[in-house]
Amino acid sequence: MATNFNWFLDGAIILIYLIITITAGLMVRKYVKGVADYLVAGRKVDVYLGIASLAATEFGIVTCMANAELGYKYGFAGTSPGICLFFAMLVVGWTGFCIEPLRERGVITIPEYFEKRFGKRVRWASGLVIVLGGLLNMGVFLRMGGDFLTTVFGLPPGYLEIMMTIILLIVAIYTILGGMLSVLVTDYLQFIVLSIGLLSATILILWQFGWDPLVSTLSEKYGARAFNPFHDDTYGIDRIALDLLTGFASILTWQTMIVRVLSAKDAETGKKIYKATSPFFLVRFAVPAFLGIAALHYFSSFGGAPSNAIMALPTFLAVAIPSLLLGLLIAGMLAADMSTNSSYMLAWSSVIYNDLLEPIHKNRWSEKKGLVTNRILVALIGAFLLVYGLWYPLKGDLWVYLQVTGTIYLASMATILIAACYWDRANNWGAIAAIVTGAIIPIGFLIMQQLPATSQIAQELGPYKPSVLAFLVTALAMVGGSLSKPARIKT
Amino acid sequence: MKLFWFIVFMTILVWYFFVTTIVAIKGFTNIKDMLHLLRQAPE
Repeated sequence: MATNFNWFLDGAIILIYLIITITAGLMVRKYVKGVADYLVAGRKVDVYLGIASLAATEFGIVTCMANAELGYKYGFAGTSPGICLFFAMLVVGWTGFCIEPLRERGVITIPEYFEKRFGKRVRWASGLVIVLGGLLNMGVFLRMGGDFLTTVFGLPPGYLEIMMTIILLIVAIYTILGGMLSVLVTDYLQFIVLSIGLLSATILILWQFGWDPLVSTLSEKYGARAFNPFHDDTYGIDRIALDLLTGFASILTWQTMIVRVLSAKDAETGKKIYKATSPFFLVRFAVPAFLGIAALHYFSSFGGAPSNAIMALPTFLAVAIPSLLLGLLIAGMLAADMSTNSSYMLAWSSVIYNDLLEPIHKNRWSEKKGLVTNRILVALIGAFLLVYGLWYPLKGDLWVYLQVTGTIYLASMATILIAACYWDRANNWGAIAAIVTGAIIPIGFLIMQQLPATSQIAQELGPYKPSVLAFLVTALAMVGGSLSKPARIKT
Repeated sequence: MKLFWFIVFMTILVWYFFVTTIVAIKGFTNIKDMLHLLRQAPE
């Protein structure tokens, strides 16, 4: 496979970056004294570290490839999810909607907050759907990271498994030992390396190809719809509705995002972190989409386009970016991937420990036992990622897969959280009805996609309508379930 | 539309550069403060 990657020069840059990151990640493990330090860094996170951590976590190789694919297939219209996320995070950060009461309660996870309103069963059921949706969502991360690296390194596809295992092992070492503290410190380094790599590559591509030729290619290929998501309904109003719904729901409930608010030193700091990070969600979509557009231009001019659009970005970067800068960019992408994997592994293990295992440990385990359990959970999640990443065949857009799996819990958790914060009449009947409804529709769609008998129907239906439906029906289930339970008579 | 996206994209890039610089400087101070607080916290 063609690549400008030089094992001596670029390899040295990547090696130096890896040594610094792993050393920093391991050095802070001595500060971990208990479960709260391990899961939420003792709630001592200030604004700028929170911004770096949140931005680095939500920008991984998988996000970059998915968003570049949107740029490659839809042009600038493909940045719509980023605009929705930016808007949602800004509004939530500005108003403190839901995040303020959540932080003030001093909880580690959202289900812990639900227990205070709806009881232990709702907490456990919420934990279950959060872990299910979160792990399915994260299941494709390692494979995508492996695909990206084997392509830019110019290795044969047979090296995919080795690459996936190497990424996982590096991340697992410091995450298992240092928990959130290691994640925060490495996130900070990774944010800087990622930003330098990404900005340098973008400026170089702009200088090399120029803005006008890139947009001219877009116009020729896709016409006006490449610049306007509402034009001709190609991107689709149902898709924009889903972008907006998942945007708000993930800002409010996605464990890897909300944990930054919960780790903040107070509610005001949490709000500031959200407000200041919101424009980064435009970067997260606009820059990869631009790289996807550049890939479209490059392959249209010189040929060599990959058969699968998701591989357009790595194939393009491997041949368009010169050595040395390629090393810096790969270090940046590796940084992005490591920060995402470490934060996600920790986020889902925290929900398993805090909410699913709570009926067993009842918060009575010693700090030492709690720490060991959390470390084992992180290791088990790593093993799951390796197996699932190799086994699951991805169909359709990667971003759509991420949205559909996210909806398994986003629809119900966002509905329940809003009701818990602002609706006195909400109760456990409504919460359980919302959890069941919110999970059934997206899981049903994923199963329909994989079964030969129903895959055609799933294709005709498309992923957006069922996901939007999941949000609407879940809200109705919450209201209907709550109202059907007889209200307690106050004496 | 082309000019619109050019202005949007360039604004995003400039903002990204600006924020990266500030976060790189002030984030390091945040890490030092956080570790200091954790060191002083009771066992």
